[in-house]
Amino acid sequence: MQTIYTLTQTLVDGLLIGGIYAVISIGLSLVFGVMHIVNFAHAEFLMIGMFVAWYAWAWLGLDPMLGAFLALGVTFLLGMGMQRVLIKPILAAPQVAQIFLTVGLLFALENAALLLFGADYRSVSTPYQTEALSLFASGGERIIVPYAKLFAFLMALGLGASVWLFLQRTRTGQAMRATAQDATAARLMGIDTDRMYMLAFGLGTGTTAFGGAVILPYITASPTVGSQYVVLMFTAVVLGGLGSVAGAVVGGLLVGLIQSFSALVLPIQLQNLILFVIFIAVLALKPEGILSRRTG
Amino acid sequence: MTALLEIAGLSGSYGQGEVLHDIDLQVGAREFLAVIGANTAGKSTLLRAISGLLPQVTGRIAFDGTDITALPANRIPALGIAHVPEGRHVFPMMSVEENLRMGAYALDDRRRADRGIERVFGLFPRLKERRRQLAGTLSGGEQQMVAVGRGMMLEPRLLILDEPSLGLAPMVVEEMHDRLLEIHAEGVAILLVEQNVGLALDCADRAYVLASGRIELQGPADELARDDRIRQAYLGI
Repeated sequence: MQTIYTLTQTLVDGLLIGGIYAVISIGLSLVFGVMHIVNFAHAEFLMIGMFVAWYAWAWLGLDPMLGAFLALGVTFLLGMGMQRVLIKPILAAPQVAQIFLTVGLLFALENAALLLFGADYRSVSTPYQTEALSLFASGGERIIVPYAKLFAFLMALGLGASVWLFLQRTRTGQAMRATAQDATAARLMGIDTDRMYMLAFGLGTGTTAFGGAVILPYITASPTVGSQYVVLMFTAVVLGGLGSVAGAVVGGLLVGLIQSFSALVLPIQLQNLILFVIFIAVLALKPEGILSRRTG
Repeated sequence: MTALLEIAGLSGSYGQGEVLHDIDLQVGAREFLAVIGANTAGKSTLLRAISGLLPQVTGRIAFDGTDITALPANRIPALGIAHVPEGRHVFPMMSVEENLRMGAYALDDRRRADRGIERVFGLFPRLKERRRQLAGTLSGGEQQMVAVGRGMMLEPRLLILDEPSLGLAPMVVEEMHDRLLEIHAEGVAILLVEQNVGLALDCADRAYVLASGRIELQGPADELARDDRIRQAYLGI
């Protein structure tokens, strides 16, 4: 039997990584929710975020937790530019064209990264990297919370909350939600929907890049790092309901917890097996996502 | 009389095939104007052309003396034109109050929006009861109230309505038209497209009859209501 310590540790591990999945999925969900485009290249912005944070650390000596803000800014601008040049012309195109474009963008970005940054794995060293909080220690048992994961989790939480507040409370955020829900009506309200699409894409790519930057202390950066996250990201977004920010958070946390708990019963190499079984079950039984509310 | 909205020689299309041909139409300040016609006559297209939602337009549309023909849709509301689209188009995942506040987006003035909310709740007390409810969960009639109320949030000089009674129960239709008359009495010009021809002619000062994208007939609403051609074609009498 598992002890209460093992179970708690598993829960903590799942939440810590789930928080990261949540913040990177928010970006993907935002882009889909506002533009109704499935961006297959989205995980590449996580990779770009990691490299921005890595260079900020290597050249400027910035801790990745601060470099994350730089990554957010750079990819926000990059995302807006890409939306303007590449995505905007195909917004009204058939879905096939959109898929070709974003899949093509995935390969283009990955290879551009290979060309620019080289194939080396890049990691940072920070003072807190090898430190951990030890909680409820008694006898040989304790709950370990590595600082690197804790900081990344808290940063992700902070950004997720900020994005949520932006969407709920600010005039631009409300206009973005209106555009997502009914673009024609939004234009009739006087909302510049083209500007909203651009901002949403920038915010989406920036949020995901931020999530990439904060995990740099415990995940090494490489041009192909995005591929490790792309499927998890899509799973989280579909579990929570495509296009919903709250859904992406719940979906992200769920993916983290499922991965973590399945490692208790299955070998670690199979940690995604249960996840995908649940994913397929959700697609079959409740394809609109587990958090969606039906509207008339 | 100088017209508030003046349309001259307007033709328009969605890309292939012209759907509006050489339309001349005026709406006076404080006038209640109805546009009637069969289902595919181009009534909605005409309204979309005014609001900047029609991709290809030639001719001239002027509002209060300003040429708005080439303005993009999102620049139109700030001039004082509110368009309540066919099918209501409420924001389904926003509350009733959030929907109304979006109607005042172009005003960008919190205090005027607060006053607007109270005015709309006075017009449709039902919406006050439902202010926290998601608009997507409302009945069709309530959604139409949200759509009209959202239009009124702009403090418009011209309120454009596209089939506000479509799919609503007869009692709700009556109530909606009473509210439109109330709005008109406050001094707002109204341009109403309506498939319920009897009701439209009953409310309006003047009316235009649109057929196959052309103006076929126009005149005072009470005269049109007595016109045999109208009675036969649209009123079934």
